[in-house]
Amino acid sequence: MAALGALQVGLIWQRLAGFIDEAAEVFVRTSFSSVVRDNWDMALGLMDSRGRQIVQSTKSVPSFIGTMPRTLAVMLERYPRERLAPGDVLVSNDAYHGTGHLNDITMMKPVFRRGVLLGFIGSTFHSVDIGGAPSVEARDSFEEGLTIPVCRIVAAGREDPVVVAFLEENLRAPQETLGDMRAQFAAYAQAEARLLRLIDAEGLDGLDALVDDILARSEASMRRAIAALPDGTYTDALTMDGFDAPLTIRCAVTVRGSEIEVDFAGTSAQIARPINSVMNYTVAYTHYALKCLLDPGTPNNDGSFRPIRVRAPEGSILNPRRPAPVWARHLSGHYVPPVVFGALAPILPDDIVADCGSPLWNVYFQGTQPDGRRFVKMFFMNGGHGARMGRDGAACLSFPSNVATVSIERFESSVPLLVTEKAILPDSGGAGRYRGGPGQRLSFRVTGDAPVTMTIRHERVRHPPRGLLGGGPGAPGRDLINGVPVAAKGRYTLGPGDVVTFETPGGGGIGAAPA
Amino acid sequence: MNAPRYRIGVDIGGTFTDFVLQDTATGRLHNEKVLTTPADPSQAVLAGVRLLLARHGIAPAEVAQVIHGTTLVANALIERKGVTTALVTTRGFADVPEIGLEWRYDTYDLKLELPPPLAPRARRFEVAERVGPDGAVLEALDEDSVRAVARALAAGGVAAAAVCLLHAFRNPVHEERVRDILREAVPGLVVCTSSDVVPEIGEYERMTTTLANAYVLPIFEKYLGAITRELRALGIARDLTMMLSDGGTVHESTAIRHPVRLVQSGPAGGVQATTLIGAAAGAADVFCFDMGGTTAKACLIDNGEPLRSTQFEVARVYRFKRGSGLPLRIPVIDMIEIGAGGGSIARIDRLGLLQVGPDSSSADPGPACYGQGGTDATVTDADLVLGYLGADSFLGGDMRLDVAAARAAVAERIGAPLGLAVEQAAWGIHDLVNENMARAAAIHALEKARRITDYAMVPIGGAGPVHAAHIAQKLGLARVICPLGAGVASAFGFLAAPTAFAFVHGRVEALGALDFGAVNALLDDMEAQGRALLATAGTAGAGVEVRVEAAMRYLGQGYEIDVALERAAIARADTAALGAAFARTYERLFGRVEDGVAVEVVSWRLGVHGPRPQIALAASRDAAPARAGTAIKGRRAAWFAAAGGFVETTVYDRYAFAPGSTAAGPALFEERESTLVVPPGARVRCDESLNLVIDF
Repeated sequence: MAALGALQVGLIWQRLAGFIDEAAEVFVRTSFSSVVRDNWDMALGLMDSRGRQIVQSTKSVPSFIGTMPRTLAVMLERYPRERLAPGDVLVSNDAYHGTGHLNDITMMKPVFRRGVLLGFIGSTFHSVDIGGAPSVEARDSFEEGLTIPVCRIVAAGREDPVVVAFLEENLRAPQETLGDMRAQFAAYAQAEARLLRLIDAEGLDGLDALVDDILARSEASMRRAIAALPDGTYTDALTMDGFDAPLTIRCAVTVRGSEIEVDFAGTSAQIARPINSVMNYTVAYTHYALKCLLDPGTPNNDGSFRPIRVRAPEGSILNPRRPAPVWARHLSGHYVPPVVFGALAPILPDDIVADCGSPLWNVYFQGTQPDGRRFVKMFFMNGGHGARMGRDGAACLSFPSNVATVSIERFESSVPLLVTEKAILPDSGGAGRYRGGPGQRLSFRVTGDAPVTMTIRHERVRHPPRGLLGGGPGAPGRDLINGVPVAAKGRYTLGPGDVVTFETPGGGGIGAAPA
Repeated sequence: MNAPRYRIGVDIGGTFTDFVLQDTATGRLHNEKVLTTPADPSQAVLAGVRLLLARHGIAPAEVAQVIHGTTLVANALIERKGVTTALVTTRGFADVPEIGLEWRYDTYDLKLELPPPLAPRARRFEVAERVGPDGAVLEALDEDSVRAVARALAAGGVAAAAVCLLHAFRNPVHEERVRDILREAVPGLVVCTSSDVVPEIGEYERMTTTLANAYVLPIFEKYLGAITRELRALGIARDLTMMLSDGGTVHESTAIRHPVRLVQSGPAGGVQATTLIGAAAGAADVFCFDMGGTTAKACLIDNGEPLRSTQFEVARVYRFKRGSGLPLRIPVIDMIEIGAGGGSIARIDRLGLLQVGPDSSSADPGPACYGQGGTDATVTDADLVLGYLGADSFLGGDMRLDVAAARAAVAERIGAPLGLAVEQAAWGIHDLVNENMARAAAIHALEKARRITDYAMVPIGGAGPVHAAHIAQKLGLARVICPLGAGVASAFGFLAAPTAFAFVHGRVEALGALDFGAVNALLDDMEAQGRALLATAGTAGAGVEVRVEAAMRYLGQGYEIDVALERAAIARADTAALGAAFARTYERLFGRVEDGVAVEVVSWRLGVHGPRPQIALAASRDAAPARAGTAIKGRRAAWFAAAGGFVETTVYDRYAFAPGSTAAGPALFEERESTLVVPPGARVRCDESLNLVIDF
C-alpha cells in the first residue's frame, strides 16, 4: 500500500468519525434510559488492531475520554486476540478497569476482514441500575452492585444465555439494560459494515497505518501547545467537604519541553465511603482539563495524550485500592479540572476558568406513584460557572461534566412532586474583575399521600468554589428541608407536603475586583 | 379589462429581492431581481412589482395574488432589532429563559458563548398562580399581581409581552386571563400567550418561542401594513399571502398572529420549488441541496412532501454552532445547514490537515479570483482552478474571474504546505467540501430514518450544480436533476406552495389507555380552525386535505417518532391500527421492533392544506433566451480525479440544449447563475421541463 497522503488521511478520518457519530445517534434514539438519551452518558469508539483509539463519538461525557483503550487492554489480557472470532462481543463493568463505577458497562466487538483482525468497535454506557445497594453509606464496592467480569456476551453472533441470565437475575431493570445493550449491537453492526466498505473503497490493508499517522499528527499538535508554555512546576491544592472530615486534593503540574506531568501527590488517602475516583477516572478528567486548555479542536484520540503523564498515589482518593467504594466517584474526580486550572493559572491566565459550582449536584427521589407503581427519578441541577478573563461566568452551567437539566413540566408529569421555584440566586457568583456565574435555588414539594425517599450527595457546602487570580469565592451550596438546613450527604424521608430546597453553589470570580 | 390572471412571488433576501410572475392563462413565468432596500424593504418590493408590470404590460388590477416571504423575522432575531419585550410567567420561574438547558454545546471549548434571553432580568415578571401537570388549577390566579405587572410594563416602556405560564398548554385559562388584564390595563401593548403560539410541553422552549413571537410581532405588523398600503396605492387591491417556514402559505391575517413562523420562509420556498421540479421530472423522493456563498442547506422530500420538524434554532451566537442559538418550537421544513459554501476559506489546520470553513470570505474582497485583493483560497477558487467555472462566463460573463490569482492562492495556502501540485490541492478542497456535505446529508437521512440512496438530488443555489454530481457519487445516488434558473428558486417556490397551516397539541397518554373522546374532540377542533384559516385565504371545501400525525414512542424511551395516522382509525378508536402504524414506522427507521413493550403518544399534530397550484415548467421555456444553432460553446480542460487529471471537456450553452438532447460526461453546462459539472462516465439529458438529468 502506498503511503497515505494528507488529503486521504483527513478524508478517511472524517468519514470514520461520521460512522461512529451515526452509530451513537442510532443508540441514543432507541435507548430506554434517560441518562443515555438526555445526558448522552455513553461513548462509542473505534480502536485499531493494537487497541489504539482513533475516534470517539463527539457528544459524550468527559469522564469516558480515553478509557476505552485501557478497558480493552484488560479485556485482551483475559481474552487474547487469537481466541476472538467474528461476531464476538466482550463485556465488563469492572469499576477499576473501566470508568470508575459499576454502572458503566463497556463492550467491545472485534472487527475482522478476510479473517484478519482489523480493530475494535466499542462503547461504554451508563446503566441506571446494576444491582446491589449503592448509597453514600457503602463501605466497599461489593455493596455497590454486580461486577461483570470480562466475558463474551455474544459468541459468533449468538448471545451467551449464561451471561444474559446472570444479568437478568442480578439487575432490577434487566429489560432496560439489556434493551440498551442490544441497541448497541445494532449500532456496532452498522458501523462495522460501513468500516469494511470504506477499507475496500480506499484500498487499505487495515487501520494501523492510518492510526499511526493520525496519532502522530495529534501528538505533534499537543506537543507544540505544551512547548509554548514556560518550563516549570506549578502547584495547587484545594479542600473538599468530604464526609466526616475535609479532604485535600493536591496537584503539581510540571512542564518540561513538550511534555507535561501531573502528579497528585499529597492528596488525601482513600476513605471507606463511595467518593473514591479510580485511576482511569482521574486520568480522564486530567486529560480533559489539559485538552480544553491546550488543544480543544483536535478530535479525540490517544495521540493527544501521549505527551501527558498522570500520577496519583496508590491508596489515595484519586487512585484507590480495591475494594474501596466508588459509586459517587465524581465527588472527588470533578475536582481534578479546577485544581489543574488553578495550578496553571499563573501561566495561562486568559484561558483558565475559576472554580465552577460543581461536583455535579443531583438528587434521587424514590417512592410510589398514586397508582402504586414504584418510581426512581434522578434530577440534575448545576451551579454557577466560573469566571474567565474577559467574561463573567454563566449562570447554572454544567462543568466539568456536561449534563443538561430536564424540563420542569416533564418532571412534574412523571412523579408526584411539584417544583415551586427554579430561580437564579442573585449575588451568589464570586466577586472579581469578572464575576462568577450565579447558582440557582430549586424547591420540590411532595404532592402525593405517600412519603418520598431522597438521596443527596453534595459538595461545596462547607468549602465554596474558589476565585482565581484575586477573584472572590462563589457562595456555598445549601440543602434544606422545610427551611431547615440538613447535611449535604444522606438519605431522607419526605412526608406529604414537605418541601426540600437546594441552593447550588455560585462560580468563583477571576481577577481582583475594581476598587 | 381582463380578469385577474397573474400571480407574483416575492422573496426579500439579504442582497436581492427576487420576483417571479406567473401568467395563469398561458403558464408563462417571468423573473426579476432588484437590490434589497434594508431601511424600508417595502420599497424594493414596490420597485420590482412596478418593473414587472411595466415590462410585461400588465395592469395592476390583473394581479390576482401576491405571495410573499421575507428574511425580516430572521434578521430581527439575529440582529436583535425587535421591540422592547417582557416575559410574564408563573411565580418562581422568571429565570428559566436565562438558566436555559444548563448544558455546554461544545464539550471542549471553554470560551463558548450562550445566547442572552430576549427579555433581560429587569423585564421578566411573575404572577401568583399555579396549574398542575394534569391541567388542574392548584392556585387561583391573583389578579392583583397581574395588575402590578401591568403597571410595571407601562412604566418600563414595554411594547410587547409574552405570557408563558407553567402547564398552560394543558389549561390556558390563567394565560388568557392575564392577557385580557394586560391588554385592558396597557393600551397598545402587544400580548402573546404560549398556549396560542406553541401549546406543547417544555417550558424553556415555549418561553423562548413565545418571547420571539412577541419580539418581532410589532415590526412585522408595521412592515406588512406598509407593503399592503403601497400595493393598494399602486392599484393592486389584494390581501397578501405569506409563506411560512413549513412550506405552506397563509393569509396575512394568519401570519400576523404567529410571525415567528416566518423565520425560514425564504429557504422553505426553495424547497417547494425543488419539490415541483422533482415531480415534473418524475422523482417524488428528492434530496434538495441548496449551496450558496457561505452555507449550504439540505432537505429530504418524501413522496412529494418535504420532511417537517417542530424544532428550529435561530440566531446562533458562536461560530454557527448547533446549540448556540435560541430554540424555537415552530413547524418548519426540516433542513440542515452546513457551514460551507462557495466563499468558504480553505486552510491547513494545526494537525497539518486540510480544513474548509466554517468562516468564509465576505463579498468584499471575496475569493482570490474575484480580483478584489482577496488572498484566501476559497472553494470558488478551487472550482475555477479545476476548470469547472469559466473565467469568462461567470455570471453570464458580467464578472471576469482571475485564474492566476486563484491558482496563486490555492498553491500558496494549500499546495505548498502539503507538497501538492496546485490542481491536486484544488481537488482536495473541492473533494473535502463534498465530503462534508455528503456526511451531513447521510447523518441527516439517518436521523430521519431514511436511506439517502432512495433519493434523487435537485441542486439549487449558485454553487449547487458545480458540486452536485460529485456529492451524489459519494452518497451513491443514481440521479441528479438540475433545474433551469435556480437563482430565483425561493420566489418561484412561493407560487408552487399550497395554502396550509399546522397545529400541534401536547398530550401524553399510553396508547392502550387513550381517551379517544377527548382526542377526537381535539382533532376536530384543530381541523375546524384550520379550515377556517384556509377559507380566509380563499381555499375551501373539497380541495382541502387534512393530515394527522402523532409523535409516538415505546414507554421508557425519550425520543418520539412521527407516525402518520388515518383520521378514520382514530375516529373509530382503533388502537390496534394505531399500534400497527407505529410499529411499521419504527421498523423502517431502526430496523427492529420491541415486542411486548407498551407504546405511548406524546403529542398530536394536524395539518390542513389546499391543492398545490398548477405550474407547468415547460411553459416557462420561452422565458429563457432560446438560441439557434449548436449548443456547444467550446472546450476547456477540467480536472477529474476519476480520469487522473485534466481532460478536454465540452462546454455547453445550457439555454440552447434542447429537450431530448443528450450528452456524455465529462461535460460542463453553463447558464447565467451557475455551471453544472457532469463527471466522466455519467450521461446527461434535457427533459421536457428543461431540467438537465444526470444518470450514473
